[in-house]
Amino acid sequence: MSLWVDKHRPSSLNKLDYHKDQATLLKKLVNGGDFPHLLVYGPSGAGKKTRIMCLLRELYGSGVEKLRIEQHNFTTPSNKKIEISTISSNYHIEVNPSDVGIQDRVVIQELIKTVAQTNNLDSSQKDFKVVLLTEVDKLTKDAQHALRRTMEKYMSTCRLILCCVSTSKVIPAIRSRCLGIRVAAPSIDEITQILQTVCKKEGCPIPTELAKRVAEKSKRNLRRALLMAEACKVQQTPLKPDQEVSEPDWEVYLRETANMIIQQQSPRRLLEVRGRLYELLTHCIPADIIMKGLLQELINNCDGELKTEVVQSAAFFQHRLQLGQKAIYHLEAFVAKFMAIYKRFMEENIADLF
Amino acid sequence: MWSDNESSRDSVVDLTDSPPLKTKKRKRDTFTSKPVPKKASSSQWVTSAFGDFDDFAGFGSSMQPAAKTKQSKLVTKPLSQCPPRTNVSKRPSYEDELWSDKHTPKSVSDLAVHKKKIEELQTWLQRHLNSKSMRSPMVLLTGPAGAGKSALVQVLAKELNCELKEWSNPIAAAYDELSFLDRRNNWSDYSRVEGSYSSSQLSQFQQFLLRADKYNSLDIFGNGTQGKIILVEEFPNIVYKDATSFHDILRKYSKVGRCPLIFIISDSSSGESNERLLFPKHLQEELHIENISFNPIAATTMLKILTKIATEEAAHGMHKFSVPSKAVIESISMSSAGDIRGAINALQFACLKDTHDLLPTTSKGRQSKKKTSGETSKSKRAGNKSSADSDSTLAAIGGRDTSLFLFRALGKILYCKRDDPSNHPGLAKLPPHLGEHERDPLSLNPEDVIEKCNLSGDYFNAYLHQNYLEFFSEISDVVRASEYLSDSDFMTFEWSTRSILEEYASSIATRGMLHSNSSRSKHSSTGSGLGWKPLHKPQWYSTCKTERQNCETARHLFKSYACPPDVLQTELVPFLSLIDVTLHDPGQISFINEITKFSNVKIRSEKLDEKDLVVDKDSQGTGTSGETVWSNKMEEDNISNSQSKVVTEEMEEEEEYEITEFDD
Repeated sequence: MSLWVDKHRPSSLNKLDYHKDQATLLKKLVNGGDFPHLLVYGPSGAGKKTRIMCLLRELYGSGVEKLRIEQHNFTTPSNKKIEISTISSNYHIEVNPSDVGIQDRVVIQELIKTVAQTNNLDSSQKDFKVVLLTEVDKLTKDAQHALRRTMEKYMSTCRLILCCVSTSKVIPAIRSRCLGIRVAAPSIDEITQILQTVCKKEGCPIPTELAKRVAEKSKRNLRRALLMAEACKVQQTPLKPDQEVSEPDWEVYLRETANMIIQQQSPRRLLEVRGRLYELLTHCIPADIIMKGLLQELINNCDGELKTEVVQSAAFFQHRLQLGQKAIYHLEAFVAKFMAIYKRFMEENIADLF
Repeated sequence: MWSDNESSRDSVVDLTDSPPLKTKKRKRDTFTSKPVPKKASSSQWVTSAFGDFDDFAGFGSSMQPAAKTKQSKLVTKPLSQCPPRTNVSKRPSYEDELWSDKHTPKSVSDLAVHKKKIEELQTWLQRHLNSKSMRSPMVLLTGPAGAGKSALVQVLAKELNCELKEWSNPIAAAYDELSFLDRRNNWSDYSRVEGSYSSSQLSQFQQFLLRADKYNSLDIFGNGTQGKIILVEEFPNIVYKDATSFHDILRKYSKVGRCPLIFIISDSSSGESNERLLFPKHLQEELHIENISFNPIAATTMLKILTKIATEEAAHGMHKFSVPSKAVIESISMSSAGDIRGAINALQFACLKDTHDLLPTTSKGRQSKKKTSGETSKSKRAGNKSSADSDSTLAAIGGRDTSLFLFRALGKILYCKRDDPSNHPGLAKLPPHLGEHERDPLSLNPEDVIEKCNLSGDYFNAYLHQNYLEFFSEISDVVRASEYLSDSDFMTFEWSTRSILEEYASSIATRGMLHSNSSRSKHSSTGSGLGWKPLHKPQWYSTCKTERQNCETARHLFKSYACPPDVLQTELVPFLSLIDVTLHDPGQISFINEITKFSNVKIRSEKLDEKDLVVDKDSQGTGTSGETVWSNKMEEDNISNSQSKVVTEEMEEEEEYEITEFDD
């Protein structure tokens, strides 16, 4: 039994649930038999990957759905062995080059080279293959420049589809070589609808209220919404409208942490909060997500006038967090700052009361 | 024609000219050779300019008959500066022996080692010298350098009337790895490689063990020894590269050998210990190797021994000097950090300094020199009286650098001792609107503290960060302190300037921490109300390590879901735990159980002990596995970032290069 997310993923451009105009455009693009390099961007859980796979299916037929995981080995110029896993069919290969950290340039060059140099013998197929690169915005500058060169060189034998969240970190040289396709996040209504159809197919119809709540909780992230809905189903089999939407543990934990900060502002409490931050970090929650989550929880408890100040300090420490090495210093500094701001505010308010 | 003529005329001139020149030269020669006796007299005149010469001239004239020897004496005397005094002349002018060698313990009672350790080794030796068990006994002594390990073995060997055979690395071993590898498995091959007798160090070592075990030494001197002990303090160099071959030798010895085998390994203060490499735990168990670890020599014992040596040397030694004051000896033993050999050497050096003023001098030049040395020694003694100075003066002589334990260094910063401002008359007051920043002067220099605790600024900051919250009472102070920490981390983000800025960063962190703790801004408030608080080791490094491990396992286990790491860690895995998907991989199940469980129990970090010298090493040891990889990663990251700037500029060239690369 696979996840709903995977099970009910639309497999052809015709079956897509939203952005239908875009889907027809894509279809026309592929029907021409050829297409330029693509740069697909949009927020997480908006359906970028789904659209790419639909596109490939449109292009090559159902053969692209026979996937295999392969392990590729490369040797860097400095004789370091690196290993990366790829997902590939006969027609395409998918790889996340940022998996290997700073050695991504080697992966890009070597992998595309090997793919592009082996031609299809079967003349009935298209004479190019597709290389799908995910998380392009996480590539080093070095790798992006290598990519630019590679794109031109192997235009005859392969097409690149780049997939990223934001184009701001992609160098302009690459952006201009690709056809940009923006996949916006689905609206709440669209998600609600999808949830209802999926649930109906699964045989446990979801009440509209619940579907709406799930959609809101998911922050317009369809993958999350589907995962949440499935979790709800596990929790209680006939889905009830007033059912509680289950959330990942770390979010609950983070909210508790934020409440602790609101309850009391003292160095001792900060020490406890630090312990919890460490706990979150060890559970693989990236520091910037912790920062974001904390801010969102904290700001709910703030008065309007405080919000700007809090957000400003959050932005300040978020920036440092990106640059610095020791995330905990900055997270803690933010928490301390918030405690101070909040405490001052509370004291003033109490003084006003009397 | 004309020119020819000219040239010929020239040559003619030359011909005619040259003879007179030659004669002139010759004349000069003869002239210069003439006044040789005169020179001798003038040299006399020159030497008389030296103050000493008058004495020597008089001296020389009295010793006219032995003219030849006089000459040499004249030369050597001023060099050796040996005064013709009968009572001192018995003592040689310089020492040819280190005191640490001269005063090696002769009996068990002389040893500085703790009694229990002595007993332990002694009983072990006695048990194994007499027993006829089949297993060959081995023991491993570990401990810091200068803890008296070797001395103990030597003394005990003497005491038990045993012969001590010690392995020392052959110097001229022409090492041939190939031949060594070929013959490694043959136990008693004589290693005659192509006519030469070169053999690998390792096979020599092997043979040494075998022979030392089998054959008794010739009893020429008639001091019939009862047994033999083999001591290995120095290991063949190859062993460090390839420990397994060494282990093989040990295994073989354990089958064949009879006499006790003692290994000594000194702890190294940094990096991987050789002990773990050469004697891993499983080997120790397999071969029943006992491990006796030594502690640094206790300060009191050290003091006793140093005083004993000093008094002995003062009475019978090479020089005459007054016995150093107790404070001097104390500070030597303090700065040696339990290394008795170093302490004795430092003592010798310290005493040497005093000897000059006892040497009588004859000349004026010597006089002035004596005066200065006298002055320095006097000032030194004066300094020793106020014991605060003695530390720094003597640490310069021969102390070890491990002067400040991390625990104390942290305490100094966190407890933040301040001076009474009345001790600093020239202190300017802050204007009233900055009154909240008014602080009494610090009684310590934060940079000194950091330097003394032998940690990089980065580590020190991590330790500070772990512990500072306990010492703060106001959240507004915490805000400032945490901002300073954030600043210090921010300063070092650039890879290329990190090494320079690191010092400044730690300085900012420590000074910021000191300043921002407003509850301890006055000297009178220090030490009140805080009491003793336990210090902890930083959690950051272990956190980082587990985080990376978890991320790595997550990536491997959920490869098939093919989603980017962020999504995997924050969405997929947490939801998988909520959804009852049948997972086929038990690894996945256990990982999900582990990763989604958040403990509400506060995890306390390891406590930091006072005198925890190991802490430093240990945390770096455990840290290094995590930290070095981490920092390497970070650095590599930064390298790539900084390089990418360069790369963009040099893109054109690189493209050229890449084209050729692709084409082949």
